[in-house]
Amino acid sequence: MNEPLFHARNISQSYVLANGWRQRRSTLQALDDVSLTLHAGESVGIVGESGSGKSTLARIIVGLLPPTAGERYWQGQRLPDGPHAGIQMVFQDAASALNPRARVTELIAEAPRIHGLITSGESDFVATQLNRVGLDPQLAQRYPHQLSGGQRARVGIARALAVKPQLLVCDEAVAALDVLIQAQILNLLQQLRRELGLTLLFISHDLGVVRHLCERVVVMHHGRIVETTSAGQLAGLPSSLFRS
Amino acid sequence: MSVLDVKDLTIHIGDTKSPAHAVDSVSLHIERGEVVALVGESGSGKTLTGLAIAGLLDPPLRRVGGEITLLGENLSALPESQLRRRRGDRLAMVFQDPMATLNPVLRIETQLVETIRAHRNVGRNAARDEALAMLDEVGITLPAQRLRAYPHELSGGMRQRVAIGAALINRPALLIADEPTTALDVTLQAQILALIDQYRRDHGTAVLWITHDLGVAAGFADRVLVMYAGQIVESGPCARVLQAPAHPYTAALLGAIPGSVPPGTPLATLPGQPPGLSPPPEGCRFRARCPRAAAACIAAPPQVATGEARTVRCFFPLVTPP
Amino acid sequence: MSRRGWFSLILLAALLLAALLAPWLASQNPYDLATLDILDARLPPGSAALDHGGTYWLGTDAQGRDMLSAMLYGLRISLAVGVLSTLLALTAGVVLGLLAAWHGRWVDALIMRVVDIQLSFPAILLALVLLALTGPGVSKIVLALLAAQWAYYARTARSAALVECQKDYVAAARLLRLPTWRILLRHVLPNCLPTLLTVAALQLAAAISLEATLSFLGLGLPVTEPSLGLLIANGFQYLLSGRYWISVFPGLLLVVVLTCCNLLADALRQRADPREAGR
Repeated sequence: MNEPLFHARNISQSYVLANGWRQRRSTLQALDDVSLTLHAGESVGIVGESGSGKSTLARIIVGLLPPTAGERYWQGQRLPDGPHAGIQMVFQDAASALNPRARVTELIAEAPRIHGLITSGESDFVATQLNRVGLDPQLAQRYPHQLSGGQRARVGIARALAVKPQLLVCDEAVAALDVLIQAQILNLLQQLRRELGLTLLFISHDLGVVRHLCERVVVMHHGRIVETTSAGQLAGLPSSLFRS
Repeated sequence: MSVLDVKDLTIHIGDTKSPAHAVDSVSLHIERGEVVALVGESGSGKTLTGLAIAGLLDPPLRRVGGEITLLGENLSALPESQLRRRRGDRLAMVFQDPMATLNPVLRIETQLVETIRAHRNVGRNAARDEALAMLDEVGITLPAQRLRAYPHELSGGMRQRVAIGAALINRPALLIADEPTTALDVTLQAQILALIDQYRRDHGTAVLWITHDLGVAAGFADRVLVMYAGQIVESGPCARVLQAPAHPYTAALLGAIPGSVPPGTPLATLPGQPPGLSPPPEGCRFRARCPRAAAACIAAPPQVATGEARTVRCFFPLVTPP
Repeated sequence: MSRRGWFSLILLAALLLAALLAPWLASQNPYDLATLDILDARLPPGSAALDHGGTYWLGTDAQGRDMLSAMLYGLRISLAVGVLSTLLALTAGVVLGLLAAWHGRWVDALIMRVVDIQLSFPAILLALVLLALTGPGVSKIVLALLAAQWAYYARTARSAALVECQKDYVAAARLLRLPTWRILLRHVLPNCLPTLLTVAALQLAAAISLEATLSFLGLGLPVTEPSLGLLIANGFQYLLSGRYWISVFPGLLLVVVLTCCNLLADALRQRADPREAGR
């Protein structure tokens, strides 16, 4: 079988907590020996309650957080700590994820310009990126606070895709959106995945969203992966954990 | 007699020359022990409606019309000072962020005891016992210990329980809940819903549940009111409305929920965005995004009954009256 | 910005302009001893000059200097010292504060402990010791003020940057593999700037008053280049003998400048804090 695109092996993450002035130290095990494999073109969901470690895992996968133990592999090669060009992230709160003092065009073009990914004119580049996520290129000169919630979410996606990643990690990317806008963003992600051959890792507490978007679902509980299943079989999960 | 009766509530935002008509002639009523869900997108006016009923509108928000009757008493006729007392006694509100209710520098005990004693002539010890019983009732384990805690020492779910406890401690006749479960994960959300459901069965409290999530409304509310661009566009018994929506907007909301179509296929969405409200568009406010819009929609559709205690604000409803 | 904020900004700008144009606005050069007439010494406001027929609108000092001219030149020195030391201290403090916030761990611990020690000294004491070691002079007093004030900026910059670094846009910038200096200068710093400018306006007032205090104590600037503080000190001995104008007018000007800075700081703080915006 061919090499997986991404592989995380035996990832653990623990925090040392100091308790008050007497410094009784205790350890919080946020992730406990988690392994995850993503094949190119796949769409995988991670579900779990808050505190299950799914967001910590996402931050480790993209390289924002060095794990206490464990390794990451990219197409078979061991990855050093830190971000990697092929992995980008879409954040939950699009308002906080966009620098409030940068115009849309700068948000999208800054990184590609620095990495030499813009070959022709910059305004053409930005227009292409905006068109791809269904935004009017005229919005390029706006600031984030001049955009609606749905438009901000789209700019967040456009910024991540502008550096041509192969793996897109979405951490609760639609959780804060109204249902109609959520539906638009989910459709957009589906369409982009098809067009660009993206691999998608979708982290959510909403089982319905994950089931809609993902072929494979990983269930996390108390820092461990308790189940990996195809999306269609999710209905059999204990209902005390999730609303169907 | 209804617990709450709202007639033609109208709220404007901003200056008097070109205000945004944020809430336009909203009428609703809630009976004893009934849960009514007020559903809409952000900007639909659902939160403002709740705030206006609770008397919490501050400039630039202005209530420019309408009557609010609580337990048969017309609140809109009362001066502000008396209004505050009436509210604390008879209605209470919980918010999405429990820290909007809780004071971060006071112990839970202080806050609950003061809330009781502000409205009722109860001794300090009796108030403390009541606070303890309340924490127990909202499902807090080790209530005696939690009573001594500060809000930041509690988890998010527990904080919301305490906020709900603080809201219910004076046995209000009406509880207004503005998305109190949106920030919580699904398990906690279900627990909070069950808690409120039990409480209203035990005490006959009327509940106005404000949410953007039709899914929450589905399992919980007796009746649902759907708001769009400042107006109620559809109302009726929850099960009937969700099974067979009459207004195209309600149908669109339902069609956008993942699970309404086979996995992987596109979800139904609407083109465009809700209209600006300063001034609101002429005629039907949903017209520009509506798949059923026709020439007649240039006139404003009235809210008409469609039978089965339902109403709809549409010339071409998806459900025809029998 | 509030009306008060605009008012103080415009007044401050006018004073700055007057200070810059002092050589053209002043009727005499107070530093040029040849133009001074000792016979005109200690004249009350409104007196006519003995030989050239001009009017001393605010009186003269012990050397026969026109007070108005002396104050314009004094304001020039006070503002120059204040603005220069504020800019230098702001730059130094911001660089160190951002580094502390970004690196954390031992870099943070080292920088912030130095800041703590520095802030536990009274600023005036530190400046006094430094000036006693280096002697008077414009560049020396700027250095002393820089040493006394950088720590405020470092602490403010660090706490503001820590808040910003928690936000997802910084995480996004890291994922996009932007260079660290670019993330700090183009993303974090602009979002800390409102807070920093507020502190800078306050500290500008502190720097000017600190310089005046040092000059008053005779440790700041040489007597040949009197700042506002030195002018006040020069008139101090005549205050009780009824010749109020030598001290009082420079003192009033100093109060106006400091008040403007504080009002401006208040207006900037309100602008940066959306909760205050409606008031």
